[in-house]
This record gives sequence, C-alpha cells and structure tokens, in this order.
Amino acid sequence: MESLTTSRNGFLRGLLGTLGVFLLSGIGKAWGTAPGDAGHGKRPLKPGEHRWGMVIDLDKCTGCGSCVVACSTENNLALGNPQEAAMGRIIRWLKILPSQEGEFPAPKQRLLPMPCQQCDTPPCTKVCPVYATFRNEEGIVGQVYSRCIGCRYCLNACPYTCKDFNWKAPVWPKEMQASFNPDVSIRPKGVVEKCLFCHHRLQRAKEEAVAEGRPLRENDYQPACAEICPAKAIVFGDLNNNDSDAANLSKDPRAFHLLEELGAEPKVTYLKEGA
Amino acid sequence: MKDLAAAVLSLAFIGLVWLLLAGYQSGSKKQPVAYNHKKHIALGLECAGCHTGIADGKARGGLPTVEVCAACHTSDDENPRAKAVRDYVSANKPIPWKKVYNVPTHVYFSHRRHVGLAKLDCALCHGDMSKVEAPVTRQAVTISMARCMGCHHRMKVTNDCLACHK
Ligand code: HEC
Ligand code: HEC
Ligand code: HEC
Ligand code: HEC
Ligand code: HEC
Repeated sequence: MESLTTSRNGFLRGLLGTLGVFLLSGIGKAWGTAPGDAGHGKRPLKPGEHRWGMVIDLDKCTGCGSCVVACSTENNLALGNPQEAAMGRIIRWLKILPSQEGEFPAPKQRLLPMPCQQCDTPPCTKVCPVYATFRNEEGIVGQVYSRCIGCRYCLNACPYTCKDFNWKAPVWPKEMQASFNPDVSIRPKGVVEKCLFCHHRLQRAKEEAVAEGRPLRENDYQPACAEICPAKAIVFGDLNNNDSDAANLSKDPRAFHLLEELGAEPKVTYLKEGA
Repeated sequence: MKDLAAAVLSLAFIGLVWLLLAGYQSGSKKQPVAYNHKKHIALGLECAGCHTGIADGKARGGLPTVEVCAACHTSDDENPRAKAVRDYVSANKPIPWKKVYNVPTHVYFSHRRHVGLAKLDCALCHGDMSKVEAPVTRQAVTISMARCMGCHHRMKVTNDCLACHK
C-alpha cells in the first residue's frame, strides 16, 4: 500500500514538473511583451481613462432576484442541482446574501445582492501564482480561465466569497444548449471563475464607439444585472466621470462598503437602507 | 529510482500528446473543391467580394457561400477543373469548406475591429493570398498569442488579458 502511494506521488510529481516546464515555455514567449506595458487602445480610449464601479441601493432593492438570473444567463452559468447545492457548489457570480436581525416574532430580513466587489487592492490577485487573476487598468478584476491552474488560493483569499471553483465540467439541459452567449466562454472543470462586470459588453461597446468615431459614452456599457434591475437599485458607471450617477451616488452619505476595515477598497458601493 | 521512472514515463506521455497535437495542427484539412486564389484574384476580384462577412465581423460569414461562385460558374462555364463547383451550384448545395484559421473558444477576435475599422491588410495575418494556388489547408501565418500581442505592442493597442480572453 505504502509503496503504491509513494510511486503514484512520484509519478504525479514528475508529471506536474514536466507539465509546468511545458506550460511555462509556452507562455514565456508572450511574457516578454506582457502586462506591464499594456498601453491602451490608441483612438478614443486612453490609459486609465475609465474606472468602472457599481452602486447598489439597498433601499430600492426588493430582493427579486432578476439580477441573479440575468447574470447567470449572460455568463453561461450552469443551473446546478440539489446535490451540488447541498455541497455548496452552485456557482453564482452574483448572489443575494440573506441575513436576519432580531428573533421571532419580529425578525427583520435583509437581502444584499453581492457581485464581485471589484476591489482596487484585491486580496485575490496577490496570491495568484500564475497571473491568471489581476486587476486591469480600468479597475476590473480579471480572470483568464485558460491560464488558471485551479489552485484556489484566490478563492480562499477573497473575503467576499465572490470566486467559484468548477468542481466538474458544467452541464445544461438539452433545451438550453442552443442559447449560450457566444461572447463568454464555457469554463472547463478545474478553474476558478468570477464576475467580470460583464467585460465582454465593454468590448462590444468600445468597438461600437470606434466604429462611430467617438469616445465611449456613459451608459454605453452596462452589465446584465444593472440593465435588468426592475427597481433600478443597481447603478453602474465610470467612477472617473464626475457627472456619472455611479460616481455621485458612491459619495452619498448613505454609502458604505462591505468589510471596509479590510482595506480591499471595493468598487461596489452599497447605500444603507432606512437611513 | 522511482522518481526517474516516473519522470521518463511522464516525458513519454507528453511526447505522445505533443505528437497528437502536431498531427492535429497539420492534419491537412482537405478542402472539398480545388479552389485557386491566385487565378481569381488575378481576375480582379476583391477579397470582400467573396469573404462577404469579414469586414463587418459577421459570425461564420467568412467563407464564401455557393451563391458567390454561382455568379460565374454557371452551366455556360465549360472549364473542366471547375466541374466540382458547378456540381454544387446546380444542386444548390452549400460547399462544406473547412475553416483553417481558428482561435480557441476562450479568445475573442473581431475582424470588424481589425479590418473594418483599423483597415489592416489581410496579408498581415493570412499571407499574400494572390500567390496562393492551392486550397488553404494550413495557416500561412500561424495564429499565436505572441503574434497578437507583438502587433498590439507595436501599434500601441491594449494588451490587457481581458481584451482577448473571454
Ligand atoms: C489581425 C489579424 C487578421 C487580419 C488583418 C485579417 N484576419 Fe482573417 N482571421 C484572423 C483570425 C485570428 C482568424 C480566426 C478567427 C476565428 O477563429 O474566429 C481569421 C479567420 C479568417 C477566415 C476564416 C473564416 C472566418 O469567418 O473566420 C477568413 C476567410 C479570413 N480570416 C479572411 C480574412 C480577410 C479576407 C481579411 C482581409 C480583409 C482578413 N481575414 C484579415 C486574423 C486576421
Ligand atoms: C467573377 C467570376 C468568378 C467567380 C465569382 C468565381 N469564379 Fe471560379 N473561376 C472563374 C474563372 C474566369 C476561372 C477560370 C480561371 C482560369 O482558368 O484562368 C475560374 C476557375 C475556377 C476553378 C478552376 C481552378 C483552376 O485550377 O483552374 C475553380 C475550382 C473555381 N473557379 C472555383 C470557384 C469557387 C469555389 C468560387 C466561389 C467561391 C468561384 N470559383 C467564384 C471565375 C469566377
Ligand atoms: C472568388 C472568391 C474569393 C476571393 C476573391 C478571395 N477568396 Fe479567400 N477563399 C475563397 C474560398 C472559396 C476559400 C475556401 C477554400 C480555400 O480554403 O482555399 C477561401 C479561403 C480563404 C482563407 C482561409 C480561411 C480558412 O480559415 O479556411 C483565407 C485566409 C482567405 N481566403 C483570404 C483571402 C484574401 C486575403 C483574399 C483577397 C486578397 C481572398 N481570400 C480572396 C474564395 C475567395
Ligand atoms: C492580443 C490578444 C491577447 C492578449 C492581450 C492575451 N492573450 Fe492569451 N491568447 C491569445 C490567443 C489568440 C491565444 C490562442 C493561441 C495560442 O495559444 O497562442 C491565447 C492563448 C492563451 C493561453 C493558452 C491557452 C491554451 O489553451 O493553451 C493562455 C494561458 C493565455 N492565453 C493567457 C493569457 C494571459 C494571462 C494574458 C494577459 C497577460 C493574455 N493571455 C493576454 C490572445 C491574447
Ligand atoms: C497586425 C496587427 C495586429 C494583430 C496581428 C492583431 N491585432 Fe488586435 N488590434 C490591432 C489594432 C490596430 C487594434 C485597434 C483597432 C481599433 O483601434 O479599433 C486591435 C484591437 C484589438 C482588440 C480590441 C482592443 C481594445 O481596445 O479593447 C482586441 C480584443 C484584439 N485586437 C484582439 C486580437 C487578437 C485575439 C489577435 C490575435 C489572434 C490580434 N488582435 C492580433 C492590431 C492587431
């Protein structure tokens, strides 16, 4: 028994080692020009011109869950099943976190929509050993699934539990397989995934802006959750633009951030209810 | 000793995978019709005349439909080497071209952005097609991340991972 496990470990070690070299040599070519010198689109878009952020008004939020559904279809999230739910393995990039204050007979239920908080100093990116997760110049915390090795350090580092691991390859009922969003790839088993503020919509919006030879306008780019919210509780926009609703609301007296004391500097701001 | 054996074994395994992948890459995708770019371009045809969906980035609009060929390869055409095309035209059946240039599903590439808007020359990414006489069965200019990023670097376009990876 002993020898069986050690030899298997030896095999795995050898395999991982060689695979590692293999991977590194492949990506090495690209590293030369990689992230540091990332200039930004030459025409209308300048470096660091935008800083995307979101404001969620808890007074307006009714907890209806539209945002969760819109997010899941937009980003090709699998439905999941009761067994996975029991193991806590359902993947939702945007969750509604319930919390209860007070006891029966007068409990007070609070519901808090929770996408990736898109931190300005993200704890998750610091622990990634392979640069699969990073914060880009416009403040969006990215995840490159093809680069991810599934170590889950980032998942553990995230104080907001906004990263999910694919324990198995996602499955969909046959009826749904013709309706994937082609702008978002299907994540394979073994990688971590997360909310990217629907970054693919930004790509489309930028392309439109270039086509029309104009700068990106406020509201050209809205993530699916903000677009769908029937109560207009989710406001999305450019925090660098002083005229944007998102920038103004994030300075509202009711504004607060989740776990502010950790210093992750989230770009998702909440507006207190009943204040 | 065991470690050595394991390493040898895993190297052999990786070699095998490598061979399989290489075979897949060159896996000469045979085209259904012996199409000749040189002859058609010499007739003065524009790329966009046949590759109609390219400039506006239509999904799957890249490879020509049989209607495009039907404009010239009618029943009056007696060229024996074009018989295969006429057969498709008279049966009005789509020609099952094999797509040779592909990016993986996790990469976002837009011809509209590069050709329609930035007006880049096709030859930068596909080589000089006006010299190509055989049907395209392999990439004349290999698609690789290093090439994409190299050009972006030179042209001061973003190299943010999120721009290309979805
Ligand atoms: C910046 C590089 C680049 C330029 C410039 C470019 N292409 Fe492409 N081309 C690609 C890539 C990358 C693919 C693979 C796309 C995919 O898999 O979606 C491709 C695929 C194609 C295909 C395969 C079919 C399809 O719909 O994808 C055709 C045909 C094609 N290109 C024609 C052209 C023509 C014609 C031009 C010039 C008008 C051109 N390309 C300019 C990079 C380029
Ligand atoms: C503008 C008219 C025109 C169109 C459109 C056209 N062809 Fe042709 N094609 C010709 C002519 C003319 C020749 C004869 C060229 C020669 O022999 O020099 C030819 C020759 C050919 C040949 C024989 C090649 C050889 O080696 O001599 C094939 C195969 C062919 N065409 C396929 C196609 C296909 C497939 C399409 C559609 C994508 C197409 N053609 C569209 C005009 C056209
Ligand atoms: C008369 C129509 C016609 C014209 C004009 C034409 N092509 Fe094509 N092209 C085709 C056909 C048909 C195919 C598919 C057969 C093949 O691969 O040879 C093809 C295939 C290609 C492919 C390979 C796409 C893939 O992934 O399989 C590229 C790249 C391409 N053409 C580029 C060009 C460029 C660049 C020009 C202009 C300089 C051009 N073509 C002009 C008809 C045309
Ligand atoms: C300009 C476009 C572009 C940018 C920017 C870019 N990539 Fe890529 N990447 C590609 C293309 C195209 C491929 C597929 C071709 C290849 O494997 O070379 C690829 C492939 C990869 C692969 C290999 C996946 C596999 O299945 O083998 C990894 C890993 C990767 N990219 C990670 C990254 C990371 C990390 C960054 C940011 C530093 C990045 N990429 C930035 C275009 C890009
Ligand atoms: C020959 C040069 C060249 C090559 C090769 C090239 N690109 Fe580009 N790319 C450009 C230029 C120029 C632009 C800017 C277009 C504009 O301003 O609208 C661009 C823009 C883009 C954008 C939009 C960037 C933004 O600002 O959001 C994406 C995404 C992209 N390219 C992906 C790719 C991928 C993937 C590949 C490789 C398969 C590739 N490019 C290869 C020249 C190139």
